[in-house]
Amino acid sequence: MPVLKKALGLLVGGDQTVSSNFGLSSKKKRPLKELTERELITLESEVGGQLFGPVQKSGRREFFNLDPKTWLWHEEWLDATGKKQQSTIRYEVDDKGILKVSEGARYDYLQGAELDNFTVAIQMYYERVMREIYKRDPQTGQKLG
Amino acid sequence: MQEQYSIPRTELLPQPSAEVADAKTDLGYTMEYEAISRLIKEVNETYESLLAEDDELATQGAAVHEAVEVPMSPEVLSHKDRAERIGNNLALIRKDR
Repeated sequence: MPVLKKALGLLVGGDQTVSSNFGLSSKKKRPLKELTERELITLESEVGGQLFGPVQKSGRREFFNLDPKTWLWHEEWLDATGKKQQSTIRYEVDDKGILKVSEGARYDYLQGAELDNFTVAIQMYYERVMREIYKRDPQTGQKLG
Repeated sequence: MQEQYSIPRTELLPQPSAEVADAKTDLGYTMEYEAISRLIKEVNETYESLLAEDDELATQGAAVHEAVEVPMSPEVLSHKDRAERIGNNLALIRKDR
């Protein structure tokens, strides 16, 4: 995946990012600066997709925060007949709670166990992307040493 | 001489004095007022009946609104606040990467 390759190269360094004898380049100091916001979200989505357990071998799952008020879930899988299926669900944080918008114009506010699951998932997402991608302490926002 | 102030029978009716003119005008207005007030009364009655109907609809509407509008529980509020906080933090960290 190009974004991951690019990100990996920037994060761990490589021939192109290791610079002169004087130390690290500015790229190495702030590697994520090189990525667009969309690329960052793609990286986050890799983490988000892992939060809900294993994905079918031929399937795909994405879960990510699109903007301050929107979360997206996208999953693709093969059904029993081998036909590809997919589902996209949008979660919108609004004044009344968390609105779940499913395909077919179905709207429901999350409640009960589903609401708990959503909150736990976004908390885990936040903790992991802060540590694994942004290298920050999730509580303080300070850079990890 | 008194003749000076008398009205000769042959003369046309003199111009009414201001006092008389007022009396006539009042009379005219009174008549019009009665017609208008009848109209106003009719309009008011119609309006009041519409208002009553409107109140009834408003009451029904409020009841429906209350039935639909479920107040947000503290639990939902807490989840919503947390989701907002996380979303805002992520937006900030992406900008400050």
